[in-house]
Amino acid sequence: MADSRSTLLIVERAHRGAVETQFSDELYFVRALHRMGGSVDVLLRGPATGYAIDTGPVPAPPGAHGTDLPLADPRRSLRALLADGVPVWAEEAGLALFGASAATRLIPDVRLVVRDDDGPDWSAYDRVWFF
Amino acid sequence: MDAYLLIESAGPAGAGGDRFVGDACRLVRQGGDVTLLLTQDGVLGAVADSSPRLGDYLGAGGALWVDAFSLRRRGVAEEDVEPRARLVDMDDVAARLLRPGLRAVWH
Amino acid sequence: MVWTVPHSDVMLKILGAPHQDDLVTSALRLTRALLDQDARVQVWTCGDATRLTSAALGADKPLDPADHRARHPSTAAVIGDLLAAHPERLHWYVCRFCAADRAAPEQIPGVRTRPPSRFWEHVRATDKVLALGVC
Repeated sequence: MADSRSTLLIVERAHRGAVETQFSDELYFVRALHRMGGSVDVLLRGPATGYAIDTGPVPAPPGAHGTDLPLADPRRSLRALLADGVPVWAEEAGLALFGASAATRLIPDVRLVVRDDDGPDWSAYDRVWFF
Repeated sequence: MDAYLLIESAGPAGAGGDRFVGDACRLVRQGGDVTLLLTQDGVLGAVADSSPRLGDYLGAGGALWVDAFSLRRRGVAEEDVEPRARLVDMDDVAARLLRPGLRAVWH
Repeated sequence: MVWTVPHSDVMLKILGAPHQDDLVTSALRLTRALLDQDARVQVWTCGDATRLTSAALGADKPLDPADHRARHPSTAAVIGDLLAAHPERLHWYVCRFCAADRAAPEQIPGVRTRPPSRFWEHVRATDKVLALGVC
């Protein structure tokens, strides 16, 4: 049964096992939660803000037998989330970790949080989970 | 001359990362041939002006390598990287690791 | 004839747990790069890293409910393929104690389970050891 209450998911940790996760990265699970009927919003903080940067394709390293190592693509998961209409914020303070130009190279539709007050209001959610 | 490959895999805020750069500084000052490789979240330490301790290390004559694959995965533009860093791939790392007598330490 | 540890140029000792950071990806990248330079490599896993090659993983990750047609290889399959591609120069060992402690006593073919008391034989059989991650 769909849960009409709302949840803010805060993602801080990133790159949790590219070979191990492949398609099932943390943003994939966020999307699954959303599709299973939950109302979720996403805030990227700290190292996870890097997921909001539009890197373009990054070639995978070689694996065995002429194939590439199968790796996760969390930005693909992020784009799918955005396409589903899930609000995604990224904190500018976190983006600074990735260099001065990072905040100018965001994936379209990601919302930039410049000051704490600009971001999602915790009081507006039934639940706030670090994810 | 003692040769070292020191590999930092955690970001600048990670436990002990700054201390490990300090280890690299000390080895350089002791006359070692030191290469510090930043990989995984460690590449965030290569963002220009993000790490004073890294500046000390470079000033003492240490070599800084940055894993290009990790850098691209994390979305750091080359223009934002410390200019004295050399972008490398795993072939470069493997070649250095295979050097006779070299000590390699992963943090 | 008594089996002895084949000599290697480099041992990668992997202690860190999967699914925490990109340690496993880095280890596989480095393994492949060393093999490409004709090095002989042995990998010794301890702790949660012993689960990377658990037979219980099978060949595939669980299905992606969003795409039932896609197959994604397990870490065991990725490593198994690497072993099959370099049978003379890549050897993968798993600490028997850690594997049992982490509920991964059965390992994929090509991986050798070793008692922790033999660990130093492996260290003596290599020119250098790179220890990746902590338990």
